[in-house]
Amino acid sequence: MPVDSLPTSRKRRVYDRAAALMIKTAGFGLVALVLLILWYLLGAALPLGRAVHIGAPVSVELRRQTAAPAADGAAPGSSRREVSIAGPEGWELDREGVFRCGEDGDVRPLPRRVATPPVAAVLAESGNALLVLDAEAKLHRFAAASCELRSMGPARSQPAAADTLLGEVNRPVAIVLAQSSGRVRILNSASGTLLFDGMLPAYQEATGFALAADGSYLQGRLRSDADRVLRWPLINLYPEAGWRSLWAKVWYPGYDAPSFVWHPGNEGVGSLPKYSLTPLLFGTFKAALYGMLIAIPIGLGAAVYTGYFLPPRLRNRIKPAVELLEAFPTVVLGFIAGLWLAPLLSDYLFLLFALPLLLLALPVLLAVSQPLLPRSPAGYRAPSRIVTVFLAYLLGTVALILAAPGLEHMLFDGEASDWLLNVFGVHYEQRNALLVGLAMGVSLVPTLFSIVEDAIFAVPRSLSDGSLALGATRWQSLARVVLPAASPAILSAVLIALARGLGETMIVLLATGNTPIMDASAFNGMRTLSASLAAELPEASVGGLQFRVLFLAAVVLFALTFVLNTLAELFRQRLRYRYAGR
Amino acid sequence: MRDAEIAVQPLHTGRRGSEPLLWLSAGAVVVALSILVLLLALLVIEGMSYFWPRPLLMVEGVAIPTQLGQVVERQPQEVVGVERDGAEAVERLLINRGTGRTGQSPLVWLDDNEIDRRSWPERALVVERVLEPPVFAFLHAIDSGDGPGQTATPFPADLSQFPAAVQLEALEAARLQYPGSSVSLRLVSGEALHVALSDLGQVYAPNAMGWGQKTAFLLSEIAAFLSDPPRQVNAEGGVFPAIVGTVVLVLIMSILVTPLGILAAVYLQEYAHRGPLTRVVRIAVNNLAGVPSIVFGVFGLGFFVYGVGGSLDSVFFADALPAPTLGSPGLLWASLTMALLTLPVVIVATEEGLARVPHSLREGSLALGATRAETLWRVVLPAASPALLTGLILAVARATGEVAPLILVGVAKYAPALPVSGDFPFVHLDRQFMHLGFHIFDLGFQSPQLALTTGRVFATALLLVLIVLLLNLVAVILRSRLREAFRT
Repeated sequence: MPVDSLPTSRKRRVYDRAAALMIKTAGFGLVALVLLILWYLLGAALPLGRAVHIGAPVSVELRRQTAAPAADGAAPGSSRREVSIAGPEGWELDREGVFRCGEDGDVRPLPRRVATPPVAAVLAESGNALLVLDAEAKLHRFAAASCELRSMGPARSQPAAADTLLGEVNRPVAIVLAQSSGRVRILNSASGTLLFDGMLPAYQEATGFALAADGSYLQGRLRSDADRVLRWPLINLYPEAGWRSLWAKVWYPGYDAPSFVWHPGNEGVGSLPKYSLTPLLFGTFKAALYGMLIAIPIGLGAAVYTGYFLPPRLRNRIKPAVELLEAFPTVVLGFIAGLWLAPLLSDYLFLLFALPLLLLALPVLLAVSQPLLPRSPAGYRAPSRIVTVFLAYLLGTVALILAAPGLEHMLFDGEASDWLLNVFGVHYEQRNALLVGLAMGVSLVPTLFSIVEDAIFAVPRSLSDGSLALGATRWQSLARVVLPAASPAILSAVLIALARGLGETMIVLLATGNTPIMDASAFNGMRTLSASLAAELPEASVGGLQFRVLFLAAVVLFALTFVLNTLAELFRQRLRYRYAGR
Repeated sequence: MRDAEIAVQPLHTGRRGSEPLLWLSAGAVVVALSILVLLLALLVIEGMSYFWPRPLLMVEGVAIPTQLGQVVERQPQEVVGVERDGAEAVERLLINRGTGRTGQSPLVWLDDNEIDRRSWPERALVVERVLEPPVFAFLHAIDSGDGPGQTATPFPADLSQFPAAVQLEALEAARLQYPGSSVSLRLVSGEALHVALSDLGQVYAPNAMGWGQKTAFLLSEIAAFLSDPPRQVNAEGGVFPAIVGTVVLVLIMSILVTPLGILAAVYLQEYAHRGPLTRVVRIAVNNLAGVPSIVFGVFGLGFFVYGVGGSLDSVFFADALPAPTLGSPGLLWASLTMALLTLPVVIVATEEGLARVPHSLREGSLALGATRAETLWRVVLPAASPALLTGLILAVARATGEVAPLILVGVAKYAPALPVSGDFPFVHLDRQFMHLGFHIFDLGFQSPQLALTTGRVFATALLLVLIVLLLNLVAVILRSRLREAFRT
């Protein structure tokens, strides 16, 4: 019976088309979804890049009484020599550029690098830094805390004719204006990032420039009309978040040297909020790499043994069992590591060193001793390797725990943590990278194991049979035939696990002290991008600086994992096509 | 060439140099399995001991005040300046002595060598209170109180001489007949404490319990843990709202994720041609699977909560503004975020199932004149249904254990109002909810007195792990069923 002659065939064909369309839409919808996530995160972080800009000028009539919120620093008509600053430690810089300090007001020279006489100066960064624009149009930054005027960072050249430093209000921006040419530069005074460099629109019409006390606009008197002023709104969004503040070392007031600091303070009030993503990125990698250090030997070793050496019956039991490790939510692992294991480990630190050694040494010992042992008598079946190793581990661990106090005393002459401190100068923190590594290792093992085991098992048996028939040992066949064949999958498993480790949140949150330090030592903690997101985003004000910086952190995390996962998928596709014809 | 080298090696004298690696990989299997077993054992032991009635220890000494309480922790004492080998092993005890006196910290460290006498008095009672932490004390009397309208109770003036069972019976009788009266307790310090019966929770004498009673107590405690709301800033009571919150969350998530996941898997397995476009879709799936869950949380917070929720608010709930209705974290957004997170899980499992359906089935159906859609709907999907179920179960398991994104998109420390209720619209999508995983995080991370809440955290963790483990086991079994069904 021809299909098309059915009375309902037209309807059915329409249904078929509709279903196909829906299914294809769903498929491509996934791509759209990933792009949407990336686009949205980027969109939320991008305004950071447009930190400051200057709007079109507005002409405002000046009423004498209420006028000039800004003009306190700028005497009408003269914008030069407007230097008169009293520092917090009793020093004074007067209008002529004379620097006085001490109880008697001794005149002292300005630091030699300043080309005298200075053109302008302001006290910036909540009174912690003195910015001086010198005669050579260089902007210097000094710590204002004492008469020494310690230099903080290199001098930064400004446009040749720069003649006014208009100041800094409550956010760390220095605004430099070249009055003759109308060129304005706005810098982040702490990091030196140039936030804006351009012409002040219609600057010729005004003179006697000044900055509003709240930093919201620039103002100049109109040349044509003495009673009117021109105001340029200063759209001052995220001046703290220049490229340099986010990623490079910045010399903040109160610090001895330029450093990477993540310290989200109150926005705009008091001390500067400090958003360096570098320590967070460092912590992210540190946590992930310690996790991989634990996960790779266990995951790969177990996968190799299960996929290649175990008989099918055992394999069908052991594989799902190992994969059940996935059933431990990371919050549970993090909690066990942070609250149960951490105090235990600091008391039994010695075991932490000794146990891995034991776990490595025992199988080697078994392997070496096996040929030396007499052959088991006929009719007696030797226990399988797994059972042998298990028994050895059990006995070894019990013996180690019993012998631990004595051994520790003998080897470390007291407590292992004291020994660490005395010999290496390492202070043992209770919640440290090793702990995170252990917990994260456990959470990454099932991922690694599952992919690698599948790949090894999928390598055609004929390959290794051929190798065995040629006289290779089982391990040789594995290492030279099976593993190379499965290597793309192994590589992709490692990349996927690494990506998971980079994004892991709960373990890091619970098992470290979350201090943003940059120290690769295994015995102290870290703060990761993900932990910062989880801990700080709920409290950040929507659209504020911290909110945007955290979205940028999410973009970084997304980009990192995107690269790793895409690479992993490409490797895996290679493998899929390699054996597709089987 | 290497292969040639291997070939010329005589069979029996082949090097066994690599054998240690073989043994080491066997060791890795043992380590992985041991971790699984040890973690489970730890959770079961610690989680169950939270429900087990702990004995009340009374310690007396010359240098210390007499204390009555439960031992929370034992620690080897660090003896400063004393050579270790000489001294006996000295222990330190952390004792929870309750909060009988106001302003007294419940936890106290006691040195082992300061304790002269230990006893486990039969009549010592654990007195749980509704609004405050429990006290450990002796029952003195049941008073009628001195307010007007109080009837005098017929109980003896001094109950403390009677055995614990009699005391507890009297207490139960008083609860039934004289609910307005109060009990007077005597603390171990000698002070008296009056507690109104209405403020009184469970009272029991752990030292007088036999094994049978203890087991019954354990079971009733577990039942209460599962069915009661939390009390006293989550420090006491059950986790019922957290269970409901978790279940409702994954249910809504399942409704959202299943159709999309299955459609996408069908596309990849049945409709897509092998080509660059399909590779791009696959890369997208893998990235969805690999993007950290916290990033989904950030996306959910920004896009769903503030973006979509905020716009919906300004259209539909404009009168309520600026107080947000849908523009704040809540159940709907949490479910949507979780659906995104679990989408790849459903896709991968479904795809695997579809791949196992033999081509002959499809060809047969097509040959009989069915369209592709009909073949899919009538033949392929029913045959792969266990895989669809597996995918769903794995997605539920993943969502149950995931906490990080929920911190951002809708979970609450304490939400007494359940997200489901008898009032219209029955499921309150805008409400915040409690979640088992977050409960663990909240108690473990932000609790002021960690030593007292650790048991509770372990109990919650055990519950969570059991749920996820069960789901995973079901998935494993379903999957192997499917494999058997189409084995040729």
